[in-house]
Amino acid sequence: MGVKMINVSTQFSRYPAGRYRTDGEFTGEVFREDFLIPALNSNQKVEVLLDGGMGYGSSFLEEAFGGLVRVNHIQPAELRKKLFVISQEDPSLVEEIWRYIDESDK
Amino acid sequence: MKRNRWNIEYRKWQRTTIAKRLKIKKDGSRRKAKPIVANEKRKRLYAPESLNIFNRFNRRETVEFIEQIRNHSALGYAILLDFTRVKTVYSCGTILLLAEIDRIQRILGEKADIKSTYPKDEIVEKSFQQIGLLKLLNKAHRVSITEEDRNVFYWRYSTGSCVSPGTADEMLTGIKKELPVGYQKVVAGIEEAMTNSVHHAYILSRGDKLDTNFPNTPKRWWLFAQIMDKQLHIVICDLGIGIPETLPRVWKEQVGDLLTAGLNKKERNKLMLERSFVVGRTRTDQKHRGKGLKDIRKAAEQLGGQLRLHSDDVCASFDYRGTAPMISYNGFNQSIMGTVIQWSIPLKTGQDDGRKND
Repeated sequence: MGVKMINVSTQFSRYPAGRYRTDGEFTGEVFREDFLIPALNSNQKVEVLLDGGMGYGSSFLEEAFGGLVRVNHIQPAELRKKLFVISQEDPSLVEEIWRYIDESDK
Repeated sequence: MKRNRWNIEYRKWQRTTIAKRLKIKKDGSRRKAKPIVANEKRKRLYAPESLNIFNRFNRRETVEFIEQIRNHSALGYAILLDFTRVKTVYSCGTILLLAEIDRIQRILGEKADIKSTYPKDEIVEKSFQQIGLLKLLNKAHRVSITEEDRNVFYWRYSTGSCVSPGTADEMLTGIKKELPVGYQKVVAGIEEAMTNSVHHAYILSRGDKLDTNFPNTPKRWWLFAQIMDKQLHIVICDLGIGIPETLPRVWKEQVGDLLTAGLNKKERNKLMLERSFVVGRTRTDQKHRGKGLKDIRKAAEQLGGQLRLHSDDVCASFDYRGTAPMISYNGFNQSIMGTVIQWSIPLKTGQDDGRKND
């Protein structure tokens, strides 16, 4: 149980896009189910680095992060303790992700 | 001749010109269209002088030309596309033509028999060559395109059938180089347009005779991009049923009032398109969906560009270049049977900012 760092652009794809698994290879659902959930289950802290990605559409972000609450029923309060999203290139992405997480709880 | 409304001579001339363009006889009836068959073995279809869908006259001709290609192919005819009359091509009309031909060939496979002439106009030929239309029609490339062909050289083309922006990697990496600050917003907008195509555009059959495989129709998009004179132009197209048709099916609660308001089709479709930019905010069970068009509009707004969205028989235009945004919605008589999104983003600001940051 330590700290897990996920670099989206190098470990997942430079072009993360789309919502469901059926949409394509590197979608929000794929990232959530294959990367985020296993990392959150086996680590105390998970850092997600967004820098280096070519662009993050709202469908990808909402499904990957909002889906943690909506589909996997993880409470936003719990996520705030464990999940750390980092984006130096576009800090507004971090706010956007937390907005999706909070909205999914309503 | 003075061109003002009080000049009788000018008004007479104007009336005759309009009548000629609309093929209206003196008694008010329409002239019969010229037969499209020039030889019995292969149907010759004449492409219009200008391929575009934003001007009413050209739109009618462009849409009718594409419709003829679709209908004749569905009936199993061998076709010859005659491009000799084409003088001007615009990205919106060209992408629609290319997409339809590509779709027909993918659906009919070897049964599709579409050939073409070369355009007479050299620039038009270069444009068709650059965006891959001649290759699609198995025409050999016979002109060389250099950087001096400024309006042609920088166009790039890509297509795909899932949300896979990586297939346009070369194109998007080029955008990153030219727009070091805002490229992520542009790429996100392209990704959302692809996601919209895959999720919503193909939920119903188009209703043409080619759509026999529905619901297993490939959810394909076509993309053009060009970087020139510090402007980025992006055009993305799908051949689905159009936003005014998908919206009531995906967002029935939020647009139901438009269906029962007793509006005519054109008015209703205009309002549907307007509404498509705001749906997704309040519906409790599905509030996570439907953010795509807002992303696309946001990219144009934040980067001070222009956005034009053609869908079915309506068009929405957003111009964020000035201090106050200019927004308009227009209705047309012809449906393009799909959706075409056009962006123009100025690169200058982004590039300068990028250099300052360096």
